[in-house]
Amino acid sequence: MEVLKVEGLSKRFGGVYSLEDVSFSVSGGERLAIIGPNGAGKTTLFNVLAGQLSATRGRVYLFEQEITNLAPHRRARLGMARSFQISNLFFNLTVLDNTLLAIQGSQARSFQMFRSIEAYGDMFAKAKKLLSTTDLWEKKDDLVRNMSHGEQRNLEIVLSLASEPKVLLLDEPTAGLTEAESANIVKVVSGLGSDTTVLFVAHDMDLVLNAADRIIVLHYGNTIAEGTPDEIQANPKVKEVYMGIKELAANAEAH
Amino acid sequence: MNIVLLNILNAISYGAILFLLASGFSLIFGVMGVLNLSHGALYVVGAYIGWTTAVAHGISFWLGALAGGLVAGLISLIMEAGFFRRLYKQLNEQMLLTFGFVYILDNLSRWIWGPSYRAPFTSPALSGSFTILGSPYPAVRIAIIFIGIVIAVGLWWLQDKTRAGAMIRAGMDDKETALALGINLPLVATVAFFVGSFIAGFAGVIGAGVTGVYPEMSMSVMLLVLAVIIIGGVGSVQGTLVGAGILGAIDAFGKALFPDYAMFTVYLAMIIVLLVKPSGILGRQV
Amino acid sequence: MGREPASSEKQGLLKVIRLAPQFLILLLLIFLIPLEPTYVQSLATKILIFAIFAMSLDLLIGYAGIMSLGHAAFFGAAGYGAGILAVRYSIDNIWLGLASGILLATFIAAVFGIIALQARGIYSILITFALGQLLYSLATKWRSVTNGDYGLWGVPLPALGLSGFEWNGTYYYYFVFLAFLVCYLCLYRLVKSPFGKSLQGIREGESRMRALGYNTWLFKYVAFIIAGMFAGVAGVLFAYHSGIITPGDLAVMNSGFVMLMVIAGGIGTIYGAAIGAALIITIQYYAGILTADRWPLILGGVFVLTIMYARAGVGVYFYSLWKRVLVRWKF
Repeated sequence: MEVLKVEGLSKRFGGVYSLEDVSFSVSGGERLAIIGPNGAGKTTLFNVLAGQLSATRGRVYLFEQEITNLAPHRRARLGMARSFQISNLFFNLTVLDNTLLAIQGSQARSFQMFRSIEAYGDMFAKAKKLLSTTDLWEKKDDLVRNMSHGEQRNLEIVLSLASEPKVLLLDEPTAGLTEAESANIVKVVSGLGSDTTVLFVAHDMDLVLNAADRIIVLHYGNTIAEGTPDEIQANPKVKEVYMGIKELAANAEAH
Repeated sequence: MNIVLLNILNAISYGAILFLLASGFSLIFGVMGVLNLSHGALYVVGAYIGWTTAVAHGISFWLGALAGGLVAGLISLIMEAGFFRRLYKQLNEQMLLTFGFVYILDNLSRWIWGPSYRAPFTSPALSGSFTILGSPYPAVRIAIIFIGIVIAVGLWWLQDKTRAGAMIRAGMDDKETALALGINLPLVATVAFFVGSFIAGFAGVIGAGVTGVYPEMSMSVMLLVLAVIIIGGVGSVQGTLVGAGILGAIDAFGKALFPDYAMFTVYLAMIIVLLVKPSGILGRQV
Repeated sequence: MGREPASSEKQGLLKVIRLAPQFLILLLLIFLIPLEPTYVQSLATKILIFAIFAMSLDLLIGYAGIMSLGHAAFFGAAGYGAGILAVRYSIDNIWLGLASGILLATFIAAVFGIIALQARGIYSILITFALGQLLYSLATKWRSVTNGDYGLWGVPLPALGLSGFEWNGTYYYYFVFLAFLVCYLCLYRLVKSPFGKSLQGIREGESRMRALGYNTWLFKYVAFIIAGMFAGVAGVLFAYHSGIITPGDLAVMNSGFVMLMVIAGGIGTIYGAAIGAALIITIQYYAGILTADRWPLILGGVFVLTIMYARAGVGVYFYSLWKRVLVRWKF
């Protein structure tokens, strides 16, 4: 089934079209990579999909329900989650507080006013499990603003996973991470299973070619190519526009 | 004179004062990002200075207006250099500071000039009336309309047609880029703050021909400024004009139709705008 | 959390030691104040009333992150509600007075909240300012009900409902003290709850909270109403304490007054607001003795100095000092 469908999506800022007539669909469990040069509109696409921005034209469907004008928090309740390219964390709160807020998320219990949050043992257990995947449990009482960039990026991903989303949008998940940290994130995301559909934006071509089932290439807001990693690597238009692939394709062939 | 024409003229003259006040406030907010809650108090201080010059000492009214503007501008410089600069980029704190200044300025005014109401005063040249369509209309109000138009045109020209205006608009839109382009934003901000406050003090003296002066005025004046901003939107001369125009009309017709409750029509207008278009009629999306 | 395990007795003792300042203050409030002369008791009563008022504002600005310069509207409205009931309708029941005042404040908060939350960020200050002044105008104009600028005077302390009971300054002090305790504990509980934590999240990053599934508008709205409700409690107690409620009690200047208390004590801590109230009311009292007319000037000066040099909060400062003492002495 088509978990996510995008039809003729356009987004205009003043006189400039950040996205122009973008259409694609994603099936359940698929790993779809969105790539393209800087300024191609990748983050804008995510912002429209997740609801931070409204579309100028076009429609978005989630689980075959139209969500084009749905508020972000409602999309989250339908099972969508995202990570942000620029870490969107609660900098003056602790790592644990950040995680608990993410876990508590769309649950009705977040309106509970009478018991201290410390009484909710199940949330703590879940936080421990989540934070341990990225070695952040030991730092649970640290303030986020005092953490290193890499730790913040890791927390950014953890927050997006906390709600056990059905559709996960990861915006440059490995940017700013060391090789080991990146490999760890890849492991965590691969471990998500077919219940979760993942869309990710990335510049790391190794990651894209290895982790993606399908790739969409954006350029100046338009889709210029769509296909499997092999198809994309062979695509001359893509090579022309996005020189990095050309080089890596040559490297890949050489192995 | 036709009652409608009378009210229209009242609306325009009142709107002109509101425009003068609100444009100063808007300018300061646009460039510095600070909501100067003491803006109304500056209007009152200016009016008092004008009164002292023109009425108490009998010196030229226009010099009084100039003095009012200058004193207000001077106070703004003190605020900026002595306090705002030390709280660089902390907008909430700067705004709260201006609120503290309201208490100080209000009480100082009361201390220096006493609590009693000063009747409206103006230049001797304007104390008569012009005959419009066969009926007399206060000359001072005509002068206010005229001054309002001149300053409106001047500000609009500054905003849209000059390099300085472009710099200010750049600073409003994107501070980092403006700084990167070599625009001396701190200087622009200080000048804008001075100019905005000068206009407030100047408007105080001019407007005193209609409103008079008394210490508690600063809060009601501030409220009107906020009403103009909320209704018209902040950030452009046009928005302030629209807001001031609407408010002038509401005030004039409100006072004519329900004198005791005219103020509430103002609030009603604000609430309607907030519910329908929160950023104001011509406001930029905040 | 990394502390060595201790016997349960020792843990109990440790807990008591750590809470020593709170115990001391409580003892002071319960036993010492009533022994003092009347004017001290009256001052203490006023401090506790404004502590409730300030704590309610802290919920808004310190936790929900909503800047409000119109909070006195709820305070004053409740005062008028209770006052009108007692003066115009001669209802001699303190519980009914409290209920009507608090209900009125809550209702007004519910209405104002919808309008105020339309604004983004710093604009909310403008709108709450305007809404506060709206109520002030109403209070001055609606003379038949509110007695206009003269204020509604002659507000009596209505009966408690116990036969043979007569109010006096000390009894009212204890009444207010109990109210303060209840409000403090409620608010303390609230900010530690999931709801309170959600508010902090909204203050720290509203867009992230929305992306996480929170209907942030609803949270802010509920917080607004709760804050208005507690401000109403303070307003009623104030009306009974002063015997008079005036339009000035609703005005922006009063909103600024209570905001100063929150800032001076420490935003975002609840106890800070209470300490700030004690500080500012005390300053007001002594300044008032020195110079009746120049009090706003002094207040403005304190305001400016606090923002410039003490905006982290005096209460917070002392609390962190105490924590350092505890660490040093290994408690």
